[in-house]
Amino acid sequence: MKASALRAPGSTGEPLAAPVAAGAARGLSVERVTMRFGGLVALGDVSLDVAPGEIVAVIGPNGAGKSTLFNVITGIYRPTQGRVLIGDLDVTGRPAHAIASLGVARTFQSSRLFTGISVLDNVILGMHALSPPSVLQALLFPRRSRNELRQAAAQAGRILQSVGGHLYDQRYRLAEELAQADRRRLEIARALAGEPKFLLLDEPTAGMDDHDTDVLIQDLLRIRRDRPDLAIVVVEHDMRLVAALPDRVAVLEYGSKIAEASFEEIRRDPRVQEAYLGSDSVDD
Amino acid sequence: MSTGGSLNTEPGEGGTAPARFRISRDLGTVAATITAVAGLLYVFLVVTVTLHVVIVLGAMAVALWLLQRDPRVEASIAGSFERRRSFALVLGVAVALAYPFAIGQNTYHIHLLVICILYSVLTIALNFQLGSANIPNFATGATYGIGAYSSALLALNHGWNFWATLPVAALAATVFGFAIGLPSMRTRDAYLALVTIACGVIIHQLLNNFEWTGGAQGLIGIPAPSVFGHSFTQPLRVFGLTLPAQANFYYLALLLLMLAIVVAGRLHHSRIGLAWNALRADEIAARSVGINVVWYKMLAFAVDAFLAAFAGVVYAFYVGYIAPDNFTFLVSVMLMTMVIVGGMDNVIGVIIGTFLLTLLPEKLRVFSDYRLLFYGLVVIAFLSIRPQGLFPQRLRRYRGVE
Repeated sequence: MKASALRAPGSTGEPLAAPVAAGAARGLSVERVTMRFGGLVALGDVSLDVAPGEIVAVIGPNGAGKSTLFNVITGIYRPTQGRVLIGDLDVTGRPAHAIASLGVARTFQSSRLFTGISVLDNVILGMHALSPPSVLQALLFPRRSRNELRQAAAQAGRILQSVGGHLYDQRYRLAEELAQADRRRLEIARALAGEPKFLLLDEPTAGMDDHDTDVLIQDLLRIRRDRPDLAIVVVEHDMRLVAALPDRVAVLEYGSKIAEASFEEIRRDPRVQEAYLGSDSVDD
Repeated sequence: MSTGGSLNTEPGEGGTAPARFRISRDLGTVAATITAVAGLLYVFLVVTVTLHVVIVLGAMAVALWLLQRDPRVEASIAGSFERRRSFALVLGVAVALAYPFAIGQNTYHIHLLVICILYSVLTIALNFQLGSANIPNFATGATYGIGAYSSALLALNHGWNFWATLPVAALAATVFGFAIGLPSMRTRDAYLALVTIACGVIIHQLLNNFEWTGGAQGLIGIPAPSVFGHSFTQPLRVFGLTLPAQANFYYLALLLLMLAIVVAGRLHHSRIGLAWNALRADEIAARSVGINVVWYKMLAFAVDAFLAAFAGVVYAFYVGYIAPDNFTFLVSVMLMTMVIVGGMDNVIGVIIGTFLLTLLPEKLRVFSDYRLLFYGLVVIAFLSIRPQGLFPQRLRRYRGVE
């Protein structure tokens, strides 16, 4: 584990200080997290702070630990060392559903939709994080339960109308029948249904063509406009999206954070160029 | 197709001519469907000649094939039921209540119906797990047995009456449900199935070997229940008509089935049912939207055990004699077949599948030793016509988001 040079690498350290300090009480912090699987170090002493309203991109080659980082934050994995904080609350080791109800929503690299039920039902399920349903109410006050479901459906319909593409028109299709780009959109809609404070997007453009990617960028910009307090962390390979959206970019390589700065600075960083971007993508 | 359009939003308005036409068409469809199902059940119940059985099964197969070929038919019938829900409910209950009168004095047929209804309660219970949440629980036969044994023991050893044993038996079975649920939480799919099979086998072995459960001989002489001084061993007199004693249990079982249907419907049409569907599809995604997967699985185990125990209690007091072999692993497999053939996560489908597969062996008696072979052939044939089960889960539709 060669992770001593991770904080503030070179010139990129300074711009971080301000937003982190401002958002420390309400933000999301990953503090010196290490994740080992047997002998493999998937994450080595990685730290990341995200303030409300910020968009942070996490980039890095395949196997750099980006998805592992998401799994640690969302409670799918319990880190071997280190802490995850939401505001001042230490949530390390809490179950995934508890972390979701603290306002952390996510999408998955290989989209994980609820198959066998409709697109609309998928979005309704996203609201679980906000308000879990009551069994007693379902059994004893069915009218109230049905109304609750009906209201949730109306709300889910509004959310589907607000995302790009034609998801709303497909609301009564089975989720698995959607085209790839729409599956991605549906995952984002489902995540937004829980009115999260933090939205983690794991390669949202995977399987999208250029046009779909442009629409997605527009979608995300609109989401940011509509929800100024929502922080977004996005793992991404598509450099157009990374250039267009984030306030900051963190670079992971072999489980370590090798740089963190604005996109402009990141693309000039020689180590990042070597590790990930390659000279072509920097100059185009 | 009957979606969209302003007519759809005001089903109660009968002002315009097309709306009136549609209401009468819906009422006609509902009445015809219920009559057809009741008639088909009657025919299937009374046929004895093998050739006739084959003809009835063939007719069912053709009907299902037509349904499969043109999904609009099913959608249109379902739409009529959806719009005329209370009419369908009243008519359905009335037909169910009147059924013993149509059968008359044939105690064997009423007996078959009681067993069909009790099995339907069991399959509805199992459907919460298998259909809604994809938990392959092979221990439903055991929870059924625990319900039956705990009530029978309370009645025989402590003189409790039927009604008092009901809640205690349900509680005992629910505790057992939790007991299988907990170790199952760490497993999934085939491994989960294995854990529940083991639990089911353990219960069967214990019932077989304990002295206080009567061993392999089981428990004999469970007293029949009575209500307001009317013993269930007495014939039932209604409106000057006399029904055989089995009819008492028919109505008792029917009451239980209605309870099961109501519970199933309420859970299905709430966000609880939706959450079960979510963990059926993808547990990790379910956790990520805030669903407490362990809690929802335990809930499915609890509801299953609770309803299965009720069925067990009624069964024990009905036949008056229970033995471990009534509650084997094979019973669980049979229940599972009924849910799968009937249609996962669709209560009506599950009930139809249960009636069909409960009555079928009785109709195949002429084949004696080859009975199971023909049983299997019918199951395979029906599943190849309707691969998702006779009546699979339907999408939830919401008013206002048409």
